[in-house]
Amino acid sequence: MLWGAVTLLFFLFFLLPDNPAELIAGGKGKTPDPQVVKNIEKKYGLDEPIVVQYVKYLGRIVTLDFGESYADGQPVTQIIKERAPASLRLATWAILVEAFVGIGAGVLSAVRKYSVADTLTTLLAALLSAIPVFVLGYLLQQVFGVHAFKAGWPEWAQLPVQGIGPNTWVAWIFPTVEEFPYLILPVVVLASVSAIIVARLARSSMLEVGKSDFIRTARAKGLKEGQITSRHVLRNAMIPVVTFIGIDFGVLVGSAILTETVFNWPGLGSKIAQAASARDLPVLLGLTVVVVVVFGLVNLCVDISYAWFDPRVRFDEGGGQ
Amino acid sequence: MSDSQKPHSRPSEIPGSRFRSEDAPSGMSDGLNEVLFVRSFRQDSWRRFSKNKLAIFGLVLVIFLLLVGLIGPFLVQDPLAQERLIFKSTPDAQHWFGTDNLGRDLFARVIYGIRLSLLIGCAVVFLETTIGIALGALAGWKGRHTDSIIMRIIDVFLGIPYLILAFAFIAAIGEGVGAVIITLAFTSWLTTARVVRAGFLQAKQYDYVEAARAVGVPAPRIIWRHILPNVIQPIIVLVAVGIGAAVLAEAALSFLGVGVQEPTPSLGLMISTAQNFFSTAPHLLIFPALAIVLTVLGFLLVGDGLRDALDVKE
Repeated sequence: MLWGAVTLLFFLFFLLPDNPAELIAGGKGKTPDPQVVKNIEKKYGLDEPIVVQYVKYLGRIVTLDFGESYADGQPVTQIIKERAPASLRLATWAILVEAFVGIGAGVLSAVRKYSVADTLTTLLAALLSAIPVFVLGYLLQQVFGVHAFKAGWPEWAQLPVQGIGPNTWVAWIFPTVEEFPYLILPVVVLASVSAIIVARLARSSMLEVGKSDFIRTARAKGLKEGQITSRHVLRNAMIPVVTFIGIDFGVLVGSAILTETVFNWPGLGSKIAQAASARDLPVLLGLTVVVVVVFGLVNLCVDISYAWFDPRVRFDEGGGQ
Repeated sequence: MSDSQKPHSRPSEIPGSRFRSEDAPSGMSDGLNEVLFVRSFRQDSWRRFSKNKLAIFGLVLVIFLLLVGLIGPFLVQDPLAQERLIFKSTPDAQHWFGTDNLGRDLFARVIYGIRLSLLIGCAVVFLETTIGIALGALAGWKGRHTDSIIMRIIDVFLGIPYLILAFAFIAAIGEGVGAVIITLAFTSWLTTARVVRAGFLQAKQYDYVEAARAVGVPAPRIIWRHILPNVIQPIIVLVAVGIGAAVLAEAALSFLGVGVQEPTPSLGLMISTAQNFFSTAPHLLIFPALAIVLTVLGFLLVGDGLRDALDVKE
């Protein structure tokens, strides 16, 4: 699987119409000195046949060597080391917010079906899924960055709109008081789209489970309504929701690229965007491989979490259900 | 549609809850006629669709935008003409949406942008659906090795986040409108293929397919006349949602500078330029953004409405 993804990406990136060595030597449209081009090709091994390059690349990534950036010669491994924490923190908080807000809103609208809050969630869901992430980012920047300042909103509502700020964290993941404002807007933007889908999914899943026989049994036993919802319905309704959060990680990566670009967040996403428009292939390929590996790990975790949510699924009993 | 003898709704369902007596036309009041009164599936779906206010709103939006995209460009000014004295002017009678940072009429650019978005959306979905149906049908009909190879390919594609896959294709193909269309089509056929394959696996076991095979109907005809009509409903939904998704994806790629290039008026590109002047000239961002939101919203609402009306499960 992973190997297939890496192979596909490698060949897509390196079957370029224009020669990367010429791009390094002079940039588009110029005709650089052929000797310079040859030297560069030699340095990066671009003069060898593509298959040889491919095998060598595979051999190198096993030892976690992703090559060097065409743009500034920085090793890709170092870029990853520098930028991955920022992305991981942003993504972790976004997923947490997405899960809690989404499931909360979904449960609320399932319990109070057709109430104002329920209708509002549905409408908001339609609207938010149509707004591009970067537009949402700019709007929030404008409101909490520019307008809040001009209109003299209270200090806590004036939020910084660019960068990561002091970049100080407690226990790796918790932002300090100075760092916290910088985190708010990117997390909100990144979490919003998925949160609203989680909410709709949680709602329909709760309603579905609520109709099943074992819930009727629970009612007949005389359990309190709140207990039924929290212990019986919720736990069973979470299975499709958790699956979705796993699948949605791919979308989250895409949104993260846009969010990090809009907010100038120094993570992997903004670097991927830069590398893509600059045709910095080793960087692009290296970061992409990292993202694909993480994506695979996330899906593995989701698979494992099934067993916790649904004890009927067990992996250790010879695959029998 | 197909002429296969597949009854869409069984008479036994009719006297029940879904059909009340006022649904039947007058003069069909005696019992036998009421039982025989069968509303066609299409009419039934349309009735459900038209009751859904959000879906109708979406449909109106889509029709309006299609008209804008088709007729609009003939009525507005040149989207590339620069008026050197009025940069970033606010809306007035001459320039309804104002002018952009190079003094070009923003109204004309937004109209052309909507046309481009719709064009890319439709082209992508056409290609995507064609590839999806072809590969899905191949996998579902042939089974065995063909099936497992195609499913492996889909797994690999699904293992790569969408936007990153698009970057890879863009890097290989180049930039511009054509490249964007091909990229988006090649990265989004996966769902269609899976749906078609699942439909085929199920339909292959139906008796009438078995019967068609037994009497020697050639395979292409069975696929086209007897199986494909079974999977057409989820595909219709995917088409509607897919256009919206493609419009969003095009905007994202153009925004990041790897999609449509200047001076072509693309909504995503306009937003990307407008961010530099957002605090001084917010209208440069708001109008293109509004155009994207309305376009995507229209198609998503229609898609949702169709999903409910055709009773397609996700």
